[in-house]
Amino acid sequence: MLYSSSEYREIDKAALRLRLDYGFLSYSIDVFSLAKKMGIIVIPYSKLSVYQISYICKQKELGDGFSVIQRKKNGDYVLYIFYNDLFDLSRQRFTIAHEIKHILYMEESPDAKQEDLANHFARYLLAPTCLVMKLIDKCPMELACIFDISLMAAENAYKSAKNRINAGKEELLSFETEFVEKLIK
Amino acid sequence: MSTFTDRVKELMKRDKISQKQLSQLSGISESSISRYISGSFEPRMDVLSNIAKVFNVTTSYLLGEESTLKEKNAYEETVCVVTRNQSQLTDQQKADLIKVLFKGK
Repeated sequence: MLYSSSEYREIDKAALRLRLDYGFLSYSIDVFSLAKKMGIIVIPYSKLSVYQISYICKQKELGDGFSVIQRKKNGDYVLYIFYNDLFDLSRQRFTIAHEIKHILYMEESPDAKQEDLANHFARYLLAPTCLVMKLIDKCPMELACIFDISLMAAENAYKSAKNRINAGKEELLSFETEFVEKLIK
Repeated sequence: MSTFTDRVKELMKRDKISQKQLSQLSGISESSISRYISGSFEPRMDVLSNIAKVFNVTTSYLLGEESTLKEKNAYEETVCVVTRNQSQLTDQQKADLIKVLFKGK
């Protein structure tokens, strides 16, 4: 589904802001560590009890993971991401990144659009288009290694960057320039 | 100037800590801390939470929702939500999941 470019830019900006805030300035990002730095308690399904696992397994929508937001009476939040660590690591990383977006925007009941934008956020957080454009001479396989993402995700990231270049929009936006400059330093 | 920036400055003064120290203690980069304190950026909930932990205050206090400074204490849960669309998971299923995860068998 397509949304306005300003909506996508807002999401891209939020993803890069997060990387800048917590000092994740390399190509590949450790999203588990990012979530922890954000104060999110990250729990793999393998750490749950058999009783808890069997309940989760009955809900197919919880197959990859989900997040829980607890608001305490004093106004503080306790945040959790539960994720399925039986899947391959690149899928787990995508799930964590996707759930971070829901937490960031406090999306209690995300609709289809918010889910799509959470996927976009995850893609951009893991492989920002502004960085992929700098590596456009690389093949998707190389991009997969550089960003530590799946080949399919790398192919999508490559296509997005290529489309942006072909549309004559390769000039970086101000928030992207700030990030890229810090990355080079 | 917003309440947030005023309160953070006040707490930095109280605890005699610099922006650099606040950056190290909160895990938020120094350049970002500087922008949040100057009011250039609106603090997100995770930023509020990390800064509140450093000063041992609540996020509500940082936002000016509490008129007097209250130290954090053992707090009671009020709301707990699962971030899933209602068409995927009903309110009852969400409530059951919370019970299974946090309230034992």
